[in-house]
Amino acid sequence: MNEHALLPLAVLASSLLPGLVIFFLPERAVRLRSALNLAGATAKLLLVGVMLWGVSRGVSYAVSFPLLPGIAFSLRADSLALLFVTLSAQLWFLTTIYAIGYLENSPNRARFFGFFSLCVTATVGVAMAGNLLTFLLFYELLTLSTYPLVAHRETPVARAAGNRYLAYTIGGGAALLLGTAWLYAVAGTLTFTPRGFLDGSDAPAAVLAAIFFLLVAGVGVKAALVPLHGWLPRAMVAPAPVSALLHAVAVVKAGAFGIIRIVYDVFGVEYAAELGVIDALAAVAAFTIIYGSLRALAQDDLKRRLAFSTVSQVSYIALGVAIVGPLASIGGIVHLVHQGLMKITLFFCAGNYAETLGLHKVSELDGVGRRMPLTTAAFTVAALGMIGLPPMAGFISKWYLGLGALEAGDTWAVVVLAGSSALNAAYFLPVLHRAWFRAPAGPWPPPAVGARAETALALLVPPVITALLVILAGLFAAVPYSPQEWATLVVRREFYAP
Amino acid sequence: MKLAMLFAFVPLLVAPLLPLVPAGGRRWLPPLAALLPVAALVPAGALDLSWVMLGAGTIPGMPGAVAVALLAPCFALALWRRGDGKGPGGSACLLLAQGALGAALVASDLLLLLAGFTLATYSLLAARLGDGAGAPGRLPAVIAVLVLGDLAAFELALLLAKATGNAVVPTVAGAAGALSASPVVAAFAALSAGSRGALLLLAGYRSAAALLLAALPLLAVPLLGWRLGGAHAAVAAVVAVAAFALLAAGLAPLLSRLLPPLVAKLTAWEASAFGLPARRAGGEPSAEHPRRGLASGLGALELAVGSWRTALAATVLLALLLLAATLR
Repeated sequence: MNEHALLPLAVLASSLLPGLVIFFLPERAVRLRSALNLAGATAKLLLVGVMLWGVSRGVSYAVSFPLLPGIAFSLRADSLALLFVTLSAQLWFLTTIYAIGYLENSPNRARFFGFFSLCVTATVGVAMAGNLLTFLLFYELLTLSTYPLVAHRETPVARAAGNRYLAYTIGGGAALLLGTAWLYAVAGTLTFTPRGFLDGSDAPAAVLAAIFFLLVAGVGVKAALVPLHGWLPRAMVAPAPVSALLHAVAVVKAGAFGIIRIVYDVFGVEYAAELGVIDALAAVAAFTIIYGSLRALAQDDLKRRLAFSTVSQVSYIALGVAIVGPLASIGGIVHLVHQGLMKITLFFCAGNYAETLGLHKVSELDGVGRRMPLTTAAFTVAALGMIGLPPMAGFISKWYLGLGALEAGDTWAVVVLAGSSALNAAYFLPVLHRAWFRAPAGPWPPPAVGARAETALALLVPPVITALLVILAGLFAAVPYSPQEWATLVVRREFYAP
Repeated sequence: MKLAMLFAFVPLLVAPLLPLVPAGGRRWLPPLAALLPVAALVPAGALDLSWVMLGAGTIPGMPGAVAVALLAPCFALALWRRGDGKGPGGSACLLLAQGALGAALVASDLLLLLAGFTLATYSLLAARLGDGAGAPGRLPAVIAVLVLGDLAAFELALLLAKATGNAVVPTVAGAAGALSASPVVAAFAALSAGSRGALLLLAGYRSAAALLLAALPLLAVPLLGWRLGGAHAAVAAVVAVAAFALLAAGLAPLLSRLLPPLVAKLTAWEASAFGLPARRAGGEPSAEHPRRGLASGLGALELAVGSWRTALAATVLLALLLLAATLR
């Protein structure tokens, strides 16, 4: 086994091993636990950096072990996998810092950080899975490792939300398993292949279409496609770092990533279009985009508003995949990263409002911009990015999606995107208006004794950094290794290469 | 020569550093930074900014340079008048606005142009807020007009990109060649530059200097029209922006009148959301506004059918319908 095979395993181990050790640490070993968390997150960042450098130069990182007759446990760091792994590694690092600050003095931190690390391990496994069975294994591990995080507070509401989450995601996993088994019976292979492996299959079109819908329904639960989204708003009862993790790093993104893999590396986008299933996916994605935004409008709870925003925004990725063409594909794939950056900023800020001032609802945010200017500035940047204003990251995604839709002749998709932008403005601008322009209802609680900033630095630094990344990802979208450049590389190499 | 062109962006580069400058230097440094782009009067070559946005660039030529140079003393004056009694945030925002506006004026591509105008507008708004004055009553309406203008400009830019052969980064010259003096060009010019005219409606801009500052983005209108489609387009853009400004002038007061009652109603709804009537049987507080309408109707429907079993059944039904549609 050479270093090219070891690296994917090392990336997995960088979060798995600290996670396993943390489970056995006593609750009071705060420093050791924090050091382990940060060391693991830093190691993962470095390892991913090495792989990024290698893959950009054509190096292949892959490892596989026999798992079942004819099927291997396979990890492969192709360019698409690395896009997701890089996002996860970067945001895990920042979320770890945030979580250390957020959960200071709260109970069950060893359990929390143990499952937190397992969750990221599973996400990275989903990203680097070389075949559908390996994908399924990590996908289910992700379900099991996030349940304790959703139910972390152990209140009746948290337990109910956790149970709901489990019911939905295990249901989705069952659909994915069924689709995977059926696919193996039909095709005899599950290995992800650029441009798919089903073109030329002699299986009836109806069978392939049914398999497609089973697989997409399976991953669609985590991607929160309507009507499979019911778990997501309820899961907002979880602590803010978990919400950030669910929406930006792990669960929802794993679902969206699964849709990309299934369309491009199982069916192949052209063959999926030939089968007609891609139009159905586009219809569901478009409906989800508008539905999620409409529902977000009515939410007073800030985290629930953000949750329905995620329902809407993640479907941009599915829509980008479903509009057949390289430009829309770039838009969809780059939105995987851009939405993650913007949404994690918003959740960090929501957590800061809740943790520092006890504010949970939009209607309570009057004048909070004066009390917490940096947090609110970060929130503003991310919200404007979500609307799609230049030069934020969201503008780049929308630009490619819009161009791709026009290129493919799908003018209706441009209308959907425009409608979604207007709805995004309708539910984000009132929040900004309240925060910056309205007078607070009463005096704010005094800052903590000895506080040098508007809130604890561990809570303040991560959203400020991610907000800066939102600006940089848009303003410098064309620099090498930027998300947009990497998404272009993915599309050129994986999907539309001659 | 290219270095001279970079001076157009000086404020953009200096603005983020301003809070780091010691208080004593804050009086003279911002006006100085604002004056430096006058160097762009020197005829400069095209500048390749391949690392900005999706690969931006600037064009050589006097009109853009002159416009940038005209902006410089206006902003320098405004920054000097702010003095050092106020915090650096407002000055940084003004510098940011000047740099972004300069970038828009000399941009060779539509993306940099759009981004420049947008950044300049919101920086001016932020500068207004940074000075700590109370929010003018029309501000929400003005922002609503601006955002709608931005969204419309985005869609029109997409159409221009398609007209230039689905170019990922459509150039101003390419767009002008494809759609010289067409209504789309005029509308784009009007929306991307003209919607900034809505800033004039800010009740807070009462002093002459502030009004001048708010009016600066309008300088871009004829220039933009001229660059996109020559003299005809310049006239068309001016006419269109006048129409847009009139529309905005009518719309903003209307929205200003409509918004307060709506906001008051919303506040009442929100207040009741904290109370017992909004609690559901399970004891979990309702997180939604108890209002009627499509959004809450969807919420009620989702609550009514929100069990995972129903979701599963709906999914199976949906999958079967889609399958049937596919096979048909």
